Amino acid sequence: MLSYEEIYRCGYNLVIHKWGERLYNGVKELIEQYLESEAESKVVPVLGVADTSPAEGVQVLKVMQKLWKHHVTCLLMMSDILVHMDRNYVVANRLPKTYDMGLFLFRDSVIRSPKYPIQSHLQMVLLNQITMERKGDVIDRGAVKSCTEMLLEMKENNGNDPIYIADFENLFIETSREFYRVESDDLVRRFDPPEYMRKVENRLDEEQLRCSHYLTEKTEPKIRLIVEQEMIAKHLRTVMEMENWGLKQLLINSRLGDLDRMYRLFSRVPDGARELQGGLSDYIRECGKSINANIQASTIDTVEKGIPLGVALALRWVQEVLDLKERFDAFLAQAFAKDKSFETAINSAFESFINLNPKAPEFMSLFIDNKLKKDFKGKSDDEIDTILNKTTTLFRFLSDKDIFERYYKQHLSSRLLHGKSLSDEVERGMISKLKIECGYQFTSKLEGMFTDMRLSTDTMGAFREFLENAVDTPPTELNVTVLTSTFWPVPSTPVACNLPTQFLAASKVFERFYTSRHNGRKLTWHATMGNVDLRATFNSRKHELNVSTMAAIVLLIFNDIPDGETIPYTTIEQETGLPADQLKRTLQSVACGKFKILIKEPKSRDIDDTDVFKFNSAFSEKLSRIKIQTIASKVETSSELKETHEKVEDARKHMAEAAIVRVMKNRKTLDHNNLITEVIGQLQGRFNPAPSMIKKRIEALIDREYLERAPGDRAIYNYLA
Amino acid sequence: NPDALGADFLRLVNSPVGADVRLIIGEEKVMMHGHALILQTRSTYFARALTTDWKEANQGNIIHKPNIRPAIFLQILSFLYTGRLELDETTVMDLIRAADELLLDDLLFGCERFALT
Repeated sequence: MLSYEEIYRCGYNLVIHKWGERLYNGVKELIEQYLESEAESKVVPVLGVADTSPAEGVQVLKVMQKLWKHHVTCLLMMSDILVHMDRNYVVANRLPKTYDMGLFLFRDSVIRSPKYPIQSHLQMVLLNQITMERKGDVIDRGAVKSCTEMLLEMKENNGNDPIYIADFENLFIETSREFYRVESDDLVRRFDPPEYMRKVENRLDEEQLRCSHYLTEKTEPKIRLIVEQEMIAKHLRTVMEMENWGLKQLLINSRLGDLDRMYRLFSRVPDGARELQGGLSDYIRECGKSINANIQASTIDTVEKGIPLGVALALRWVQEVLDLKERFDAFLAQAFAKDKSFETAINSAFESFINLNPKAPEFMSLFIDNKLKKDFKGKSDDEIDTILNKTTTLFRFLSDKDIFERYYKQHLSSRLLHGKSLSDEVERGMISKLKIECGYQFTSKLEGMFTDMRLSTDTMGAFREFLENAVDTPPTELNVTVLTSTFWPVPSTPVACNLPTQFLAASKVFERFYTSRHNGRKLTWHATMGNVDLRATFNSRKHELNVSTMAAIVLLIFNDIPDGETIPYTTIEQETGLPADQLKRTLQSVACGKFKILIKEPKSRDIDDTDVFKFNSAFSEKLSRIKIQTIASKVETSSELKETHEKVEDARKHMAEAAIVRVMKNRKTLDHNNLITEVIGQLQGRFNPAPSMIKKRIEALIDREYLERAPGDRAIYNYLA
Repeated sequence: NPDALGADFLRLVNSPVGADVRLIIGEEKVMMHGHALILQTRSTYFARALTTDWKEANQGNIIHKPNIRPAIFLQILSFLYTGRLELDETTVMDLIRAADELLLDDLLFGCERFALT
């Protein structure tokens, strides 16, 4: 056994007597010679084994490992002895310390031996072991691990980078790239996308575990990048667009797990998320296209009773869009981790196809109309709220919100005036949702309509009190709803009609009452918007009929002629003074509907100018009170549609001019481009204005001297107060 | 009171109480007592010498130090145990040499500063 004190003292004495250099070089030479002879006698003989059998190659690792362990032990003891040299001679001469010098010697005399092909064999064995494991063999991980640890322990001359990088990792990465290039080409051909993605995921997990088990964490991002590039990035489109179980089929079959996997894998590579979003958008647009194509009348088979075909189409369109949206909400939450960029992509795809349907604003309003009139009956508050919220999300996608507002006003007005709304509370709930989306301005008129309804109830109470003390009571009962003309979608001139004298008399009484209370207000009667309760005597019994005012005007004509006599259409037209289209619809409702109060000759569904009518005295029905439906809210005809669009265009011109003036009043002077940008910003919540349209409005305002072009620069405008 | 710690530890210097290291010092081979725990903690030299790789540890913790005089070594021990040492001109050169050999940088610098003033 050696004495530490004696050997240490020897080393110490040599150094303090200036023999440091000889000591250092002597030690170095000795280690070098020893390592060379060990390499030759112990490592070289097993190298051949690795050449003949990849599996047996692990022997090279084991021999290497033994030699390395022994070397490190010896180096530690030598360092202990030569501390004094390391601290004095070595530091003064800027040499590697004994331990590091020993590691360099192992690197250069064994691993990178110029005499023997140890390096190439070591690399081959390590890579073979890993390839074997990738192919499913069980390998001696411990042997590989101790070798990679050895390579990590030795450094390059800079003392920093482990030789692991140059002697192993670079090669590992390159061979892995080749391995995964070949494997992914093969797998993508043999398996469908869900299976392929599972295999990719497994490979990613395996490589991660490999790094943590027997390579190093530092290799992990590099090998991960290789697998991602070779297995994911290069096959994005192939996997997504595959006929059999590509993205489209995963979506159709709601394969959440596979979609989630696709999302997670694709998101790992640059462009992956974008490609997937593109695929989703394409699919949504494709679905949207077929939903939009479905609004052709011919595509509907069964129409629910009492719903006109046009309305049924509208309801189905909205429901189909809602269903699609619901599916994608589920995908977003359960497969795409509520990723914001996916949400944006999905929303913009919806937005684009929804706005491709020019009737979208009308359809959405009709949908809500139908819910508020019928569908919400017997539903809980929560259910109602859910449906309204979903509808509001669709509303958010509309670019023509002003057109929607127009329809909504029309439908709301009809609900309120005909008492068809199921619940005031739900109506107000819907309006408050719209208010949140579009602000106070958007809903103030709608809210005004509710106020009118409430005030009218009060007014009627007061009217009844007034009648108790009045001298001339009206010949019929009268119920009046007073509407503020700017809130309601009423025509500026009422529909023409000749009111029967008793109706006229009643309205005069009310007028007197109202103007006495509200001096200076002007009442315009829209008689045709109301309805009337009539008592009618038939052969069998009396019935109470609730009909539109227009129908009442028509029916009352038959009071004046003997029973059984007919009146031709033209006479009715003259006597009532109603416009032809309104009159025809009214006659349809009393002569061609479920309850035939009049008999039309010849019998048919449509009204012709040559038809004649007579009172159906043989009419018989179980119920004593009969409500005769007027034709309900319906999808507009093309001429109405054109009219609506003209009105919308007018309104838009006003809004644009108002916005321009608001901006210019504030800025006083502004250049053309900035003005356009600011105006678009102000209007976007209502509709998407075209810059050319704004330009025209600017010119119109210049003509009317609200603005002027700045002298010397035509692209700048000044505000003229 | 940090002074009390030094004073107490001074009583352990070359004391047989709890000693587990024998130090044979100088050409005259004077035997001194040492405590492995303290020596290993205070000095890397002793820490290495007392690992099982070497004869010293394997043959009953006996350390020979023939090239240091007993009087000087006793001062070294005092320094190791207490962290303090009274220096005087007669011994400072010998202490410097010993501190250098035993890699006691603290002591070495202290002695050098004393020698220069």
